[in-house]
Amino acid sequence: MSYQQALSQFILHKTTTNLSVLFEEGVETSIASIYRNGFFRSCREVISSTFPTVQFLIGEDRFKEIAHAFIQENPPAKGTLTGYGDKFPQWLALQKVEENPLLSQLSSLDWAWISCLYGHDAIPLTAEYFQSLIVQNVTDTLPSISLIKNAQLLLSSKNAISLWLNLKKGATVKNVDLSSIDEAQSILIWRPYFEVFARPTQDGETCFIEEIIHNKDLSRASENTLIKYPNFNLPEHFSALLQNGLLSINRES
Amino acid sequence: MESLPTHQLKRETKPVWFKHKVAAGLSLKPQHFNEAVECAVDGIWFEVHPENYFMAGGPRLAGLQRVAERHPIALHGVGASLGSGAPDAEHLGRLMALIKLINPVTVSEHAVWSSFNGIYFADLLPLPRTKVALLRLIEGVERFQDGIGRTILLENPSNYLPVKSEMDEPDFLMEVAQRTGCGLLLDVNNIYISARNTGIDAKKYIRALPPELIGEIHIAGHQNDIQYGDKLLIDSHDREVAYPVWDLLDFALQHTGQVPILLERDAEIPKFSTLLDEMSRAKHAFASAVCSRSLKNAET
Repeated sequence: MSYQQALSQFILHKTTTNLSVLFEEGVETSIASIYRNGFFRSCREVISSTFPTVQFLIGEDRFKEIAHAFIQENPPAKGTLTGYGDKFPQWLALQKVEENPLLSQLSSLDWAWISCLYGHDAIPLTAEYFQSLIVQNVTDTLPSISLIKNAQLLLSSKNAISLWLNLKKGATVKNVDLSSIDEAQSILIWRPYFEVFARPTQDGETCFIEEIIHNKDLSRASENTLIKYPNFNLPEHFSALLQNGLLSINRES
Repeated sequence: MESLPTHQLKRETKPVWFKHKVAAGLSLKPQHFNEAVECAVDGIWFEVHPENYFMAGGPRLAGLQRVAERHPIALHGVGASLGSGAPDAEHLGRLMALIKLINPVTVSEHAVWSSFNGIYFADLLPLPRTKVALLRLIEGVERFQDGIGRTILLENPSNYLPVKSEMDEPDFLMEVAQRTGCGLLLDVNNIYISARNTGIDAKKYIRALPPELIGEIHIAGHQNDIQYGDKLLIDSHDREVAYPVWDLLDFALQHTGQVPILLERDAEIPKFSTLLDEMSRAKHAFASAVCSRSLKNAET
């Protein structure tokens, strides 16, 4: 048994029998709990700061229990805690927690938010630049346009999205029914510059965004959306995406 | 101890550990980015844990870049697990990307392990001072230095329990330095904690280390353990530096001469101005180190 195996087993499973491989004989090995406590505390703090809305809803004590179980089953693998917790939403969805599936939906939204915060910086297409392309009369050969790298379109439930948006705004949330979920809705979460934004999207706009993501071609995305949603106000929604800093020129094309 | 066959001595000239002339510095936290950029304290520098910046983009990384444009930045790693032998290639890749981005004045790591069997324990875990552990640490430091193309500073650990030992800790660290060419980061608070927790002689420890190996000094706050009280000191970095640690810093500087000093603070972060006030004590100690060393040299 190596010293690394011995201390690993103690940290993960409280197995003290092999600690003499590492520490001198006769020492008070209960002191080694510092390492076990430190490991779980560091991981828990990261899970807590990454999933603030989950913790807010179920309270700190219950969150600690849930986070501890997650850490035990999914300890970090890389030499950093930055980005730790990516498996938490899927793991939470499988737990027998009475607030599910709402709770796991909130965790997915929290994870999308932090992913955008730490994701690649975007170079949003500005309205001015797009206007200059039109003035130059190059709209027939528009460059390939897609969503910025730092944007995610997620499907969740209406009440999860509403609750999450309110919690992110710091609004007071009372008497939340956590036992049921509403119909599905889409939400956009993105970071054009240094701040993360989020807003729900309606059917036509969701379709338009999905088409942009899929085709990376504005003309085709517009045509396909209008076939499915003939009354879709394309200029208004395109302008909104542009103003939101959600579009960029696809430089890989 | 008997000589180790697999490595050659690497030091040929007197090393220069810092690329810039600096004095006292601070741990840098995101909430202080703006004040750090504006800070005009002479000789100041900042240190960060690179693992907290292993991200593709965003405000935190941009904030660090802004500070790096104005002040020297040192990277002080906590996750490479050098005591485990060969460092993880992905970890090295991410560190290299950060090094290219901010061009740090120095890179340092710890004489500990933190990963095993694919699990990262997010803590600085102790190594026994055995030949096996020594060889593994030497391999870790060599591969790490080769991976980033730089010589690093290696920090002495804080010990909570006496580990299995075939040699003293200074001998253990000096052997690593001799075989890999790395320098040492002398954490005075760690030595104080280890002395109190395991009964070693702190001053004897410091005297045992060759001054030319020491490229940086750390000081930090510690606290008593909740259960064991003052019989067990915890390296918490969450409060002001204790008086005995300041005294030990003065002693260390008499031994080393002027070495850049960093005031570490990783929790319960106070105002930037409060940290600057505390740092001024370290800056004074740094300035005094010239005089005390000169006197010492004159006496001998």
